[in-house]
Amino acid sequence: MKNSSADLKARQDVIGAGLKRIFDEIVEEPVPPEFLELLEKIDHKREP
Amino acid sequence: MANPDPQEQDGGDASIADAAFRAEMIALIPFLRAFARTLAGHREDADDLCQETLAKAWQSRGSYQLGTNLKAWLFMILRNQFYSDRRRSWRQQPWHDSDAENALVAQDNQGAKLDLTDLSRALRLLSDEQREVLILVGAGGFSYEEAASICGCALGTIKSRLARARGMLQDLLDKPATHLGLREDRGDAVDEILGELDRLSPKYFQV
Repeated sequence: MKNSSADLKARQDVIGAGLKRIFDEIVEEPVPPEFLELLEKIDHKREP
Repeated sequence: MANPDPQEQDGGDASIADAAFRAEMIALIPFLRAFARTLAGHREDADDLCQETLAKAWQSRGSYQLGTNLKAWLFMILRNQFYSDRRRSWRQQPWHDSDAENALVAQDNQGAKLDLTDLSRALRLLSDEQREVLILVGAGGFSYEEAASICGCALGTIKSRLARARGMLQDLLDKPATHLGLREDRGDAVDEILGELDRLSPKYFQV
């Protein structure tokens, strides 16, 4: 099937929105506690 | 002192700078996790990658220039770590679909729909270089220039990788059953899903 450039553009927009959605859903997850524990640890282990 | 370097000062100023750096890093963790997971695919490995990145960034905080783009700097560290880990030990890990399955369908203004599980799978089939540029520019909101500096390559390379990545993704999504291995993995459910897609947006999903 031959796509017009408007069709291609529309499909790329859908794909772009999908990518953003996948990324944003992970961004919105709560950060696991290990991350903050790690930062606590490195904060107290200051290099001279 | 005109240009204080937190590494070379004792006491108060360094602690304040460190605390500010740490707070900024914490605020960026969700974005790092999203980049790591979309790049590496595997949830646990992605979180390990993020933690390595944070530890490394903390150790090298003296070389970060305050007031510049910390997000891009952290993404660059993560990206470099990903490639060096991968060279050392990682082989392809199975891709976890759980994230995409939580949100099955993306929809644009015109009502065209796309199964995000298919999109996730298609993303895994791109090269790492294509995938990372697509994520950085297409989802992470970085400019071409920022993506070029994160990936350590020329602007033209970013643009051509992006164009190729988009074209590949579209081709893969045009033929989900054959390219994404959906029939093997899912049996009859696939026909249902594809049928549903066709019904929802025949214009975009019929080959």
